[in-house]
Formats: sequence, C-alpha cells, structure tokens
Amino acid sequence: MNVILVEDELSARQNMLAIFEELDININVMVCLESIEEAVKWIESNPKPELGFFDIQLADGVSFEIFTFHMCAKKLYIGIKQYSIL
Amino acid sequence: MIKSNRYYILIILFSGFLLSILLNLKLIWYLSDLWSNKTISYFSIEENSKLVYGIQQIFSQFFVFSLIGYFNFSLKDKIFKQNTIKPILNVLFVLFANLFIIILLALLQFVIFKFEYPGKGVLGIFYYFWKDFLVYLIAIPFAYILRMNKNLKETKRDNQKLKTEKAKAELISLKEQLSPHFFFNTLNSLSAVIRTAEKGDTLEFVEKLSQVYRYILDSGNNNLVSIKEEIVFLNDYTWLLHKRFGNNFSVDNKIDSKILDNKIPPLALQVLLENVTKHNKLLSSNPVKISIENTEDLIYFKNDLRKKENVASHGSGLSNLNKRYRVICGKEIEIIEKNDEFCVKIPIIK
Repeated sequence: MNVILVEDELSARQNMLAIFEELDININVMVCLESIEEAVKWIESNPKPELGFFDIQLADGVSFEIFTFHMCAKKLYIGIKQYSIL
Repeated sequence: MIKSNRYYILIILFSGFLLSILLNLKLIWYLSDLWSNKTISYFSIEENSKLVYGIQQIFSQFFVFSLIGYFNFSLKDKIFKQNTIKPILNVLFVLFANLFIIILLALLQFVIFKFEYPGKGVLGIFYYFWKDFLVYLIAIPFAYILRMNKNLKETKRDNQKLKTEKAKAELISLKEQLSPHFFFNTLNSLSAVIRTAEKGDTLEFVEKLSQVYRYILDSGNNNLVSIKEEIVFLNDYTWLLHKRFGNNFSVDNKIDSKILDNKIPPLALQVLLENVTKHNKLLSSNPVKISIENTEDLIYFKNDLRKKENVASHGSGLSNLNKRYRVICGKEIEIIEKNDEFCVKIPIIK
C-alpha cells in the first residue's frame, strides 16, 4: 500500500515509521512531508497515494488546509486524542 | 512594627501623668517656692491644705484621664461588641457610657474629697464635675487619635500581609502552569528514541528527562536560581527538544561567564524557548536560529521570527514570566518584535 506521512515533528515521524515497520503489512511509505506547503506541492506533482497520515497541527497551519487545495480524499478519518503516546 | 495594646495603654498613662502635672504647674511652683524659702521643716495649716489639695488634683486628674482614655481606646470595644449593635445605637451607648463614667468619677471625688470642695452642700458635686472638664475634653480625642493610629497601622499590616499572600499564591499558580504538553510530547519522543536509537541513547534520554523534571519540580521551592543552573537545565531541555523537532531550530548561547552567578527566576529561559517553538514554523528546510546574549543587567533572548499564522496566542507564557518578575523583584520584561526578529529582554537579578 502506498502511503504518505505528513508530520512536522521528528520524533512523531520516527514513531510512525517504526510502527509501519512493526506492522506486518506491505506498506510503502512514498514520502514524509513536513509542512502544508510541501504536502500541497508533492500531491500536485506525484501519483496519488492510497492512504495518507496527517498530523493535524503542522508548523505552517492545520492539515485540513491541504484538502481545501485538493478535494481528492475519498474518506477522512479523524482521530483526536490529547496526549496520546505512540 | 505593630505595637501591642499594652504599649498604647502605657502611652495613655504617661500622657495622663504629664497632663495632670501640666494642669497643676501652679502647685509645683508653689511647692518649689516653699522649699527654697522655707527654713522650718513643717508647713502651716494653710500651706498644708493647699499641698493636699494639689496632690489630690494631680491624682484625680491622672486617674480620670487614664480611665476615660482607656475606656475610649479599647475597653468600650470589649463592652459593646460593634457588630451586634447598630452603629447609631453604639455611638449613643458610648456617649452615655462616657457621661456615666464622668458622673461616677465626680461622685467618687465628691465622696472622697468632699471636705475640700469650695462650694457648699450637694452642689459641690458640680464643682467636681466641672473641675476635670478640660481633662475629659483632652482624654477623649486623645484616645480616639490613638485608636485611629493603631487601626491605620493594623490595616497597613493586613494589606501588606494580603499582598504578600496574594503574590505567593500567584507565584505558585504561575509555576504550576508548566504545561503537561511538554511531558507528553517528551514521552512521545522517548518512544521514538526507544524504537530507533541505540541503547545508550535511550539511557541518555531518560537521564536528561529526569534532570529536567527534577529541576522543574525544584523550581517550585525557589523564586530565583543562578543563571548557571538555568543554563545547564536549558541545555538538557534543548537536547530533549532536538529529539522532538530534529534540527529545525538551533540555540546559540553567548552568555558571558561573568554573570553566571547572578540570578533569574527558574524556568525563565525555558519559557522563552518553549515560546519560540510554540509560535514559529520550525522547518528542517529553514531552521529557526535562537541566540542568547547578555549585557550588564539584561539577558537578550532573540530568535528569527517565522510566525505560525493560526496559533491561538494567549500570550500566557510571556505574561506569566512578566508577572513573576513583578512579584519577585518589581521589574518587567521587555518584548521587542521586529519584522524578522523577536527579542525578549529579561532583567538579571543581582
């Protein structure tokens, strides 16, 4: 499965990547992106991923802004849990 | 310094003594005249009665002054509890009580000294009543002035007490505002370190985390720490933040080693650093540079300004730091925001 990861914090990114590795599924992380700007640019110029993981609060805004540029997502799952530990 | 009741009562007694002497100066002069002119060792009957009368005067006036003074100063509060009686009634009561005491004293003197009064019959009581009129007239305002003085001092002290208590409470609450965000973010970093790094790194992480938390907990007990301690702590804190943010920011510490023994409030630099990470876009493509410099009595905490647009800014971090400064030393921090640079100046406390 082709996946993108949008997360601005290094440690959270590492956590996610490690979790992907631990999961015994064939996950291909296409790219790790840091900001809305980067994400928008990347999505514009690359084949669409099957699944995306977006941190909500990014350095340059809230990741929902990405979807205002690209109404491409079929489904949006939003998980909110304060102080959850990966 | 608040004086006890006894101190004020002594003042009343002493003033009563002085006043009674003052009102009977005639007698004193008369006595000194007698002593300097007299060769024989006994007084004539006339002289004797004058002397006795004078001494009576002094004693009675002293007694009257002290009693009236003491009554109006504090005794009346014990007799008439102010909150149980209506204020107007209370004033009337006190007025009547004063009159009552005055009449009682006149009666008393009349009974004791009645052979001395110059008038005749029962009317002599009026003589005693008017005789000490001046003493009443002085004693009552005097007692009230003392009361006012005492009350004023007490209110002052209470205000001061209230102020310090308020300040203490404020300080405690300010310290407790250190966000749990940091703790959970750090735990997240820790799990990333555990997942990715070598064993030694994990241990180092735990060590730094424990040092940072020890410092934060200790800071609850101190209003001030040395800059040296704060910087050691800040280095650990920065190390932890780097684990979370990678190299998206850098801290350049240019603090002069000469000022390391001076003081600042604990967590002052931490608050500023946290503020930077909270309000700026930290991107690996464009790291935020932070520099810490100092002058003789200020620390300059500067950073590149790359404001996040949508962060709800309560400004609580900086305003809390400012409050703490005000409470601790009455100084204020200064915030200078330019186009591309943000600078906070915090006072060094010597």
